Amino acid sequence: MDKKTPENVVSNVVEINNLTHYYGSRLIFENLSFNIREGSIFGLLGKNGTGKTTTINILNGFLRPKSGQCLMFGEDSYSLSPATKARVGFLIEGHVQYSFMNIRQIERYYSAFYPRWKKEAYYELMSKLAVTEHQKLSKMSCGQRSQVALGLILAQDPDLLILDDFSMGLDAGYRRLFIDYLTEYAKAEKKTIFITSHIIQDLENFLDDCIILDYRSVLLTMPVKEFLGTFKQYKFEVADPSITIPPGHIVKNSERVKNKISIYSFSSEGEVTQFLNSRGIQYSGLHLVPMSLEDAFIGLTGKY
Amino acid sequence: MLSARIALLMLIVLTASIFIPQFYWKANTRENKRTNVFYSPILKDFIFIKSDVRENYYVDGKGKFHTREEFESLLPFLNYRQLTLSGTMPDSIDGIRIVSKEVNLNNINIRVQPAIIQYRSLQLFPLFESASGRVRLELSTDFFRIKERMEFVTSLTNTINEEKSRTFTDALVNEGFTFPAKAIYGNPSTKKPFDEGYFVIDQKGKVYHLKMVKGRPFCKETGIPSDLDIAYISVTENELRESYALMVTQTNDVFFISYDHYGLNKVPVKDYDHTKHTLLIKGDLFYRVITVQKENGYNAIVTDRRNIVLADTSEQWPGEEMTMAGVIASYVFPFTLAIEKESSPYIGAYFTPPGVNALLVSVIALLCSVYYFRKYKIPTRNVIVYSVLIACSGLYGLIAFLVVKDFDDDPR
Amino acid sequence: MISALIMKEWLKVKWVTAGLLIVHIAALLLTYYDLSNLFKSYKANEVIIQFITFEVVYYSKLKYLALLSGLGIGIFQYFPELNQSRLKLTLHLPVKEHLLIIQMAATGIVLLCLLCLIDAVIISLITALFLPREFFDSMITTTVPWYLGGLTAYVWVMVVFIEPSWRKRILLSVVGLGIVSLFYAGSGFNIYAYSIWCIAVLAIISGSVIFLSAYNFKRGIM
Repeated sequence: MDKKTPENVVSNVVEINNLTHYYGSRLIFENLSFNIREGSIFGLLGKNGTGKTTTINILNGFLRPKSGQCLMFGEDSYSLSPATKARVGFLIEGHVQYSFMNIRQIERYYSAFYPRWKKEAYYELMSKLAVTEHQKLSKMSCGQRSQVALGLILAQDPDLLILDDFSMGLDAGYRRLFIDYLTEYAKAEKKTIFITSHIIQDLENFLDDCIILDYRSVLLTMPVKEFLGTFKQYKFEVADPSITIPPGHIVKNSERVKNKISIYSFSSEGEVTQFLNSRGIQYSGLHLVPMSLEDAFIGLTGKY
Repeated sequence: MLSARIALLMLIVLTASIFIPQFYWKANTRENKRTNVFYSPILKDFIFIKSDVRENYYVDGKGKFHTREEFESLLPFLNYRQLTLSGTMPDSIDGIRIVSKEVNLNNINIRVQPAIIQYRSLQLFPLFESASGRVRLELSTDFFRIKERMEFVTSLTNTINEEKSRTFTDALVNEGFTFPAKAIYGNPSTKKPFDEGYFVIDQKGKVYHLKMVKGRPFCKETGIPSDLDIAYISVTENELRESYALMVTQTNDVFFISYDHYGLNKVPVKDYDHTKHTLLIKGDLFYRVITVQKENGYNAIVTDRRNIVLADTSEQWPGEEMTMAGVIASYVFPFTLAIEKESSPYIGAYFTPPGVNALLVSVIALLCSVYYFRKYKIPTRNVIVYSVLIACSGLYGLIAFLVVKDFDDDPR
Repeated sequence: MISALIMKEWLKVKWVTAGLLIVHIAALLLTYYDLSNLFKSYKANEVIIQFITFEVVYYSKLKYLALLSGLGIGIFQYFPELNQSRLKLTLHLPVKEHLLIIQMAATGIVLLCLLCLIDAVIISLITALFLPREFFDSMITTTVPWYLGGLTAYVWVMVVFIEPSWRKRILLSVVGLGIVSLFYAGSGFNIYAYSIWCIAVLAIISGSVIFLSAYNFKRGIM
């Protein structure tokens, strides 16, 4: 186990090394490693069942991994000190909160635990909802509840925000509202956000870094800008519609609709041309297609 | 978390050792068989009623079976009313003329069960007027206690009758009574022919006879040795007025307390343990039969009316542990814990210690667990805990282990 | 901080506690009227000799009240925590986890003790009004196992609810049922006279199992 120098501890809020976890005999992931830089917005992307919530649970100390290490602010995440927990805001999947409390009760409840509590941040958000202070959470809509959960986390003023699938059950307006507030929050100094979502389009201009999980393995870890800058989609037409191009070093993924083929690759146009020629594939009209983050995500992980 | 896991293991072993044997024996209860012992003045021998759920069998000491009618005529004192009705009551036995009033008077029946000895009732008693001049006894309007003094609580007002309390306390003090009372024995019931009050043991172990005669205290130090360590006194209040009470000591000696200056007449008993056995004394004009009833047998002694032992008999039958179910149980259950038992009116932890047979199942359980230790990769520290537990508590330990292993640390 | 935690627990159980309080008061009133009617119908000495001879537990309506309260408070307190894993919210608070668990248990136990105290005080007053001191003494030792049984039932509800795996929940329920039944054996006065300490120890040992369940929840063992 390598000793962390103080600078490392400061610059990485989360360090995950060789994390492996099983549920019974079912492998969830093996040797998962990544770091989250202080002040960055980090996205954990993956289809359902690739271990996003499992990772979040391990990170919050609600699951002991089979092997590997998970450090948060330099502490083992399984036994975080109260002081460190106070620096971490955690949004549980589905915006779960105490539904038996009302707007005012829940604010008073949490304010007792966090020294940096910002009551105004919470009530500012609440004032935008069409709810009274004495309305119970259980009598609110899913969107309203998500705003309560968000308001509580923002009032906590944590250094690290962990959001497990914030978009779950929210319509487009509330999702946008959520992202707007998070963006505002992230502008402050040294605030780090770790987010998972299954709706990628919301995160496009929001994330700094991302990790993409596949079943049992990591597909990619890099800054989003770099990903969108280097991962490309090429389209062309072929004469022989029975041609298939298996994924490999150059081609990460390919799709064919009749005689139109799309390939996804980190390689330049020149390298792709060379690859197609070397395979003796007859093609015409090769051109680059611009992609959103969601397109790129699907391009990398496939539609199935 | 080791301590919490050990706590859970212990709780599972505890519940298993109580409830598994309890269910087992509920499913394997045997038929109840009883023997009542009598002594026939005609045969000059013991005679028995052996009964099961179907029938009563009448057997004499030589093993000969009798009909009910024969049996009744062999015990004329016990059955004098029946024999009188059918006109077969003998006029005399052994040359002694039989007067039915005498027969009735001399028939006594005393039964002392272990649960009665251990039972401590609410220490509040009614003191009857024992010379009211009325046929029936009447319930007092107050109840007494003997703590730092003797106090009467008037029921209607729930207050203390100071005057009466003082009078009785003074009477006790005058006899040298040391407060508070250790034990008070008597029959707080109006359904008895007359009242002899109470026998009270004081702090120094001295025995006092206390009753109320014409509204005044009657209080006497009996002179019964204070080092006798009395377990129980059964006040008899029998018209025969031969003895006030039957007394059982902690050392299992049995005495009658005589009307003659509280003299003690020792009752011969054999192998009697008042914490386990029931003592039965059946008396008639000629004899006293003293029976000690045990779980799987009895012994009986017959004396004449001068307390001289004439004969004895005993029988032992195979206990529950000898039956198929009992043998299986002796292997399967390393020990059993019961919270109730017949010989005590109280809830407790009644432990039946293990026998040698249980060792076999413990060893098998231990071998089984080795398989699981490997299969589930149980860490060494826990293997030690589980092995000790299973060795000590066999089947229960194995059950506890199989439940608790799920709560184990992962072998990290 | 402590008051915030207590407030959270109180919000969950306030209605069930109010309901239980009504049940307790009703049972105590019934006990009072039954006893007072007996003394109106029969001579006082006749009532008392019957009570002594047959060990009439005139407060038998209280027998399962603490048990009912333990189950009620336990279920209302822990069902919301188990539902959607809300316990994660509590355990994420910046307080040592075992303190959070102890505090949750303590809140419920204090409430239960208060209910039992109400029973004990009122039944004592009723007893003192009608009956000699001996009845009071025996009433205390007769009812204490019932109160302990209620507390133990509460502890096992907590253990069962916090435990994350259904299979283990069933196993723990069976063990808990067995343990709790030990507090309600027999009838009559004072029959736990010689074993009251045994069952008190049993209640305390049961309490330590809470930490095992909490630990399992934390480890995420299913």
